Amino acid sequence: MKQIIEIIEAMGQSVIDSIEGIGRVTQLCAQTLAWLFRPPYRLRLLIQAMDFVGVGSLFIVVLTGLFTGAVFALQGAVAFRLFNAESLVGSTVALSLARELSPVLTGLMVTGRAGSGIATELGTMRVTEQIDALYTMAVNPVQYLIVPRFIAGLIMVPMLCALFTLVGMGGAYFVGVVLLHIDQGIFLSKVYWYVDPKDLTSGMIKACVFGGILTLVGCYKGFYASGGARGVGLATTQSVVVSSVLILVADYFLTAMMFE
Amino acid sequence: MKEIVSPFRVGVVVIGALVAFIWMFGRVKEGISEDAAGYRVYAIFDDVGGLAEKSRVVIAGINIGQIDDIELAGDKARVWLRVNTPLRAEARVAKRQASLLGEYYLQLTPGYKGEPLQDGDQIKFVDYDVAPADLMNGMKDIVANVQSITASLNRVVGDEQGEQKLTEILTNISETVSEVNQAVKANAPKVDLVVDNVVKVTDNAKLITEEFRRDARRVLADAQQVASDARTVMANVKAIVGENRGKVGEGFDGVRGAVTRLQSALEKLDDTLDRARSIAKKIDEGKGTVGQLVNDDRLIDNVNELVEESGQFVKRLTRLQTIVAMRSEYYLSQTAVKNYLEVRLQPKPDKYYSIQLVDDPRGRTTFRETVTNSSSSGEDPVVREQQTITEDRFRLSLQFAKRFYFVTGRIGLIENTGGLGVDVGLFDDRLELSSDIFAFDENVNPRQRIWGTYTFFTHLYVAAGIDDVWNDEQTDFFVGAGLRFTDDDLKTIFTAAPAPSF
Repeated sequence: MKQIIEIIEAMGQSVIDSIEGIGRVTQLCAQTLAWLFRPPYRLRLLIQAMDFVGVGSLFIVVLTGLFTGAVFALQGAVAFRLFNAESLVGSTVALSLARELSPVLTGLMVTGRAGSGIATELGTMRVTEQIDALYTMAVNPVQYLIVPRFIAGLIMVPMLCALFTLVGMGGAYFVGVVLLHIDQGIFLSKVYWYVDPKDLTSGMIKACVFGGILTLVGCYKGFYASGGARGVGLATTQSVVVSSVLILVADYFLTAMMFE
Repeated sequence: MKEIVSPFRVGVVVIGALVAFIWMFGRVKEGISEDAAGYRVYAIFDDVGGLAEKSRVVIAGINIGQIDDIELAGDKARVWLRVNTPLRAEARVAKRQASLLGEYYLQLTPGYKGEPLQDGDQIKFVDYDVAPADLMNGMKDIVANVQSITASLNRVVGDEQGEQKLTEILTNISETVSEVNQAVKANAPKVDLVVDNVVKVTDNAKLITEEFRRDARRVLADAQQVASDARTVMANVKAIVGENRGKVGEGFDGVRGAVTRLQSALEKLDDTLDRARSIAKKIDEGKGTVGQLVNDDRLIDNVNELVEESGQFVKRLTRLQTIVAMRSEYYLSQTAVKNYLEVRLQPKPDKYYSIQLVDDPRGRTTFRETVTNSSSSGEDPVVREQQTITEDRFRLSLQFAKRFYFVTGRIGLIENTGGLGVDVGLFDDRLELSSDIFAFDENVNPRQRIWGTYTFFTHLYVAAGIDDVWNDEQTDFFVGAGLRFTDDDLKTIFTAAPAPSF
């Protein structure tokens, strides 16, 4: 009987924990949104966060974009060659990059590099009680720590996404036109013909949402980290996993909303 | 340091990304024409399978728009096209297949009649291609027909009974053939005999009929002769007995005379026939004029040769091209006009003869020197009078020209004096640079003329140049224009012109 009660207790506790988690996330989001518009505006902190999220991820995003475009063009050419339709390689790669690959892969790359960094940084501050210290100094940690990172994510991830698309197309062009000798005029005209401004803007909107998701998840996991160094490590891992999954899930719903 | 660098780096990334985005946005916007220009028209299709939004709309293979929207209109499909070229009410649209992969596009024919189509109008004429599906349907019918034929065949010969019947038929045919063969073999000598007999009978019949025909002819001739003789005899008897009974002796004399005249006539006829035979013999042997005419092959050879030469001459004549040109030049210093009328006979592309009639404002200059010997002492005993007479008369040029590549050399009479000329043809002879040198003894220096002509249209050309380069007081610049017709044009003009009636 005691065991059954323990099991029920454990189940109930996990439900309570889950509901509590949702509540905390909602609270944090609400606080963040509220503090977005309340002074003092800490521009220096925002610039630093943008530097960390955007500039710091630039190299890895560009590198990923270049090879993604190149590989996609190579594989596309193999498939299209079966139908003598290699001219469609450019437009296929461009559409895929603009609509899906750029925002998703940029989101995942920034999650891996910056999201994890944010979780680690805030988790460390939490376990070393620096966040509590901020409270004692009458500085709101949400405003001081989370808002700049959130805004940086909203701004910089779309920027990285645009660069990802451009560099990816460069890689596809190199493989398609230079290496595989697809007619340059046809390659480019198909790209311009099939890709719409709407495709680019939808990619940017997605990237913006992903930027918000990955920074908020990183901040949340770090902000509520507990249990010393191990807890910080756990928070970091969880932030990467949760951000990645959320990005992919959100991508589905965004795509459904935008293109249906 | 980091404080300064960090905003800079962030700014660089943001600006770079924005530039990249705006550039890409601009390029892909070029690909669609919906905001830039164009208007919407629609067409109703029975089937729009394979067409999609943004499918191409082309005229003569050139993109002039795209499909904007496809919607259901009752049991058909309304396709909205955004096009940026004017269409008329008679415009036609057709769905065409771009590749075997099933990619389709719309082919437009803009139409030349009717009101121009406005935004929202309908293209009323829709053409349908034979789609692979239609072909498959057609094939289905054919296959069904073939199937019905094979089924009926199967019914006839498919079962054991049919097979047995077929075998029986084949056996019967085989037996019949072998029997016929045997019968023919057995009766072959008899048949040969019968045929031989038939041949012999017909030969005999032929001989008999020929002989009979000959005999009959002879009998008839004899009978005629007998009748004629009888008539003569009866006439003579009548003459003797009836009219001059006393002059029976004279009657016999008359008969004798008639016979003599007949004999003489026969002798003459014999003679005539002999001569005729002799003439025929001579002709046959090739003697005499007529004999040679008939027997000598040289004559026909000569005639053939003559015909061939005439043919070549006619060919040369037809190959001969005639060019008639007229040109007027205005001399700037003299303020006078010089006119040319030229007929150019061109037997070959690289050779021509030019006959030119020139109306030169300088006229035709002749010199006359009169030497008078005087005996009066007070005067110079010799009076030398030189007259230069300039008359307003036409000058004549007769030249032979030969072309080497793009350079044509001319030699002959130029404006009544001996001279040389050269033409250089450039840009397919549209631009021609020419120079003449002539009138070597008319002035201190020979008269050289350098000019260029440029042909604008087929017949019209303009000219400009300098005349009399080396005689300073005579040097003059000129501009002009001319017309040039080939004999093709002249033929057209002459055949099209109304014939004069008197």
